[in-house]
Amino acid sequence: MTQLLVFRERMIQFYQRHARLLKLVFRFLISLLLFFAINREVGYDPALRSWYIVVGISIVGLVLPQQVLLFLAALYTTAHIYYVSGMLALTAGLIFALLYFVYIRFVPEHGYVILAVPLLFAIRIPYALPLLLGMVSAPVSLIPMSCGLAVYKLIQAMTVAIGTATDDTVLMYNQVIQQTFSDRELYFMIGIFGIVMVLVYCIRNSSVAYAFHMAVPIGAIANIVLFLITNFISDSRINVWQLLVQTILSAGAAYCIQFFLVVLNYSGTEYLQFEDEEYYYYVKAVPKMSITTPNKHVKRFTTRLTEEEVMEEGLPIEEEDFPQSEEDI
Amino acid sequence: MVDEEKVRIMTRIASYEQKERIQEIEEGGYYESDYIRSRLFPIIWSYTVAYALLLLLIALYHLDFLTSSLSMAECRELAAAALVIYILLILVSVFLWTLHFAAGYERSQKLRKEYYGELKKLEQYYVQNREGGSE
Repeated sequence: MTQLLVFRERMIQFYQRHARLLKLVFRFLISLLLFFAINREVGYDPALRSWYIVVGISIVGLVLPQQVLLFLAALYTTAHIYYVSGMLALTAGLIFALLYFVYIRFVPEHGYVILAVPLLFAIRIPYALPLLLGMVSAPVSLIPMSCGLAVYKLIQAMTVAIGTATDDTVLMYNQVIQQTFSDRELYFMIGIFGIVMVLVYCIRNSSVAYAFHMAVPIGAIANIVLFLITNFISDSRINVWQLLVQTILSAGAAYCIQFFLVVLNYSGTEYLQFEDEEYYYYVKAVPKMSITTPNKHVKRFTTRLTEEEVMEEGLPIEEEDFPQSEEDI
Repeated sequence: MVDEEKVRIMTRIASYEQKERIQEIEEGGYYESDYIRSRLFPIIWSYTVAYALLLLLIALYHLDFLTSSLSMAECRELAAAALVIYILLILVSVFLWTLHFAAGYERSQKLRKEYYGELKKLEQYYVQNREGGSE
């Protein structure tokens, strides 16, 4: 356990030394993953699918404020859908606009929760979302999580409709809306994710010993049990082995991410500037460490060396170093 | 010579004056009713736009029904139902967001008190130094 904490402290020191660069790199990687995930789901336009467009948009997202990433993702998705169906692109655009005016405009940081849904589904760890939100956020995150799941299901319904429909009419739109909101799997998923998130949140905040470390495993077990129950009740036909493997991977990913998120949140370096009558001050405020990392050089102390060991070491031999008789000992 | 104690106080003050925090501190100077009222107007406007978008989506879904011959009475009923739902939606959202902003106002009051406490410490530091210098 100490080794883990020492490793964490080294990570904090590394992060503090290179905080600005690392933040840019993380943002770039997450943008890249997000646009590849969108391409995987609705990548209809071959021009937009090209890697240099994806890299270019990710770089543009770096330069602009963080909230713009959500807008870029919505625009990118709508542009892909517009390539095959104007009607569905209008639908997608209206729904994204609706989400913005109702919620994201006032709580922009929750937009990342909505973005995280297709990303986690694309990398096959969707169950990490409620586990992670339970560890780092409050139960109010159920709102963006539900919105994200609904948007994801809507996009899946659109891909099915695009694959099967022949006319680009209002009928396609009706089919998509019907398929999305009559899908029981969506409501089951929202319900189960909500229960798991609240459970993890309650355990994390309880005063029981090791509650913080038990929250994710217990949440993962609850997730599996609840999905098995819904599989039994309804005709979902969930692949049980896939559920188990994905939940274990999700729990591992959630544990790692919250480990770094919680740690790095509190290790954020602040850069401040101010002046008085005599000086300009450029201050870098670095939060203190909780454990000092050892810079250890192990020195072995032995009682006496034997003559052979001294010969091997190439040290000068002095007779008094070695006991000649029992009396010397 | 750089005075460490003074730099510590000024660093804490500068930390409070980071962009997002100073705005929150300034907002704590308003009356609570003004603070909440100034935030509710954009919400009412946004929710009105969102409701219009939702009505458009619902209208597209029921386009066949709407384009079939509807009587004036039915149109009036639909419009009245839409208006009642809109008013209820605005009332509920105003209530919920008022609670949220009241909690935010309390937070900004606390931040404001801490910030002015640090400013007062700096002022006292200058006064003590001036008195010490004159002695």
